[in-house]
Amino acid sequence: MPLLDIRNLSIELESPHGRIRAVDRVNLSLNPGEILGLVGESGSGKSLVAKAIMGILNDRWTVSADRLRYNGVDLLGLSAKERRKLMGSEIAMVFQEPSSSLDPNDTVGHQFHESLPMTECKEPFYKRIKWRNEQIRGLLHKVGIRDHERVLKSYPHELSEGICQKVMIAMTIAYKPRLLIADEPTTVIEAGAQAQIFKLFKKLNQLNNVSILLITHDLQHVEDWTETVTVMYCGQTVESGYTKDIFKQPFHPYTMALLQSMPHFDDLLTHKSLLSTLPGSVPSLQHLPIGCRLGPRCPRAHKQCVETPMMEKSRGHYFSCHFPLTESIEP
Amino acid sequence: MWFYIARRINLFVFTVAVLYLLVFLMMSALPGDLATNLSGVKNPTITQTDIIVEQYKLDKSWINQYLSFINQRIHGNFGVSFSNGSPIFDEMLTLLPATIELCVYAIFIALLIGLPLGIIAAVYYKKTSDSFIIGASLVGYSMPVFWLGVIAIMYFGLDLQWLPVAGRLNLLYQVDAVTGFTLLDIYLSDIQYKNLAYHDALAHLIMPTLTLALIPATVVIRITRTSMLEELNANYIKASKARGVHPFIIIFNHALPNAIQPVLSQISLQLSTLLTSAMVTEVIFSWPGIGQWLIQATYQQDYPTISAGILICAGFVILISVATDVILIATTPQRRSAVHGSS
Repeated sequence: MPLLDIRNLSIELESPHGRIRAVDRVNLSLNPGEILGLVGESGSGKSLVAKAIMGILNDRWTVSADRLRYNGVDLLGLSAKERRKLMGSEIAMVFQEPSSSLDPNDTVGHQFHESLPMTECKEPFYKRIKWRNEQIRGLLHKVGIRDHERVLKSYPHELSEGICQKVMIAMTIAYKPRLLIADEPTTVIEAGAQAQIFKLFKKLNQLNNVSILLITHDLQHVEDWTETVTVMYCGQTVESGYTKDIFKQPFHPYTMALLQSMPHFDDLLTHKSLLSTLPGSVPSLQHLPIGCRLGPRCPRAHKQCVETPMMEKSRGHYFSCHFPLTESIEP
Repeated sequence: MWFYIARRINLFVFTVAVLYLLVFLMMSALPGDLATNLSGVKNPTITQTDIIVEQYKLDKSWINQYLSFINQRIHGNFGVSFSNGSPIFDEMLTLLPATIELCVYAIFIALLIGLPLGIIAAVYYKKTSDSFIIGASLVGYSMPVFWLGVIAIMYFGLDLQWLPVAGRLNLLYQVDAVTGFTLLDIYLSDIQYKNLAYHDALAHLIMPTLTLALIPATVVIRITRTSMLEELNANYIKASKARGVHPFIIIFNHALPNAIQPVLSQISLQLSTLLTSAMVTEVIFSWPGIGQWLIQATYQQDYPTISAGILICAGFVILISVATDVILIATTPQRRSAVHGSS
């Protein structure tokens, strides 16, 4: 049974121009111990999906789904208290901008104290502060922060984004989650720290059997670190399957375009040659095309594309396109 | 941070200097002799004139006059009143505490009422309680102070006879003015019926304070609500929610400390409005404060008193706003290391 099972998740926004469907019937399934990549351009609704899973969307958004289950529990039917309990113990999320995810008015140490699960503490009350400090020190060492004393005394603005992200990760793994949602964890972090954070995720995945939903727009990271991948465009799932298969043979023109936009710096790339891109940009939420939302930008669009294509399956590889690619990708 | 405080103090000194300059120019522009206007002595004898000319350097250039004007005022020589010839500084010493008492209690009550209601409105955004609180604050904000005071006197003072309508303390209680703050004075005095005196002083305080607190309270409600809404949508709130932190901890430990800073800076901006409505309130409730005194001085064209009132009230407002700036800087970690005021 998949740990996270999402079927036809739609997220809608009330606006003066009527209801806008920002996320349109997205499917996602994540098995225990798996790393799933969720890829797409900015504005394709990846973060919305993550926030819908965590239940931290604003009141403006309406979430509906045929199935939104975590480990058999229907997340949409939970009360606020039950959801808080679940999030405080099993599901964790790492955010895009780590320094703004920490309270600017509070020291890192104090915020860390608050996030520790005190139910695990078996000590009598007078030993609790010591227990907490030991826990925090251990967690910070685990994520690769050595000068824990300076970090704990600092305010978030005094630390680099990389350290903040590590602190955030340390806070989330404090209660040993089974599912970690990483929403573009490395976009604002320098390259050196990026690799450290991914290694940390991998370690968590292998040692603690944490399932990870990695949301990113960087295909390199997806190729390196994930086992399965789901590609989203403009709120629709376009393709999903094993990372290896998809990188070898994408069926959807959008995935193809994404893969081609990855520059290969080995050969073939002559001096000052144009890098291949998909023309146009993601349409704004007010002007979403009907049918397949890639339609206006798709190099292979036909008349039939004004109808939303159904999800098709071919050997564990799902795609939604009327005219799937069959020729293989250039090496 | 110390450099920032030095800069603020510098700003304070220069603003006050400009204030003194304006008052000085006003005094020289007013009808009548400058010596009379500055000192308040109406028909000085020859020796008095000599002393005044010597004090204010009236035989020298105007810059000398201005500097000696500042010098005299700083040393507590505000001249004498036109109307009764008593030293203005001594009068102010007895009147100013009454006004400060009223304002401080009003701000305290405004915060006490405004902060919780603002938080409730923000937490229950777009729910019934939110619209109710916002509606009530709009009604309160648009209610004129003088009308509210008179209505309160009519209803609670005259109809129900619950509360006294005028003054600070019943004449039965012989309390010496040591500090000028009634409650403190009662505490320091050695009268027999202290508890009764406390009751009486509080009963006198209730109506003026509540009348005065109404407008600041509505302002606090609205600002608290907006800044709480902003903070509740911030990333760090979402992150703590995602970690399963209890909503009470989120609101009071994280959202509120961040949201309270705009509230404090707004309150310091509201202080001048508060002083103006304090004057009206003092007249209505016959509160022996600086506002009532100033309004009477205006009727009697008592120039030295008016100028002293301007200097004290404006100086008080400037002092408080500089102090709030420093406090805000000291309590905001991001800005603590800042040299300049912006950002």
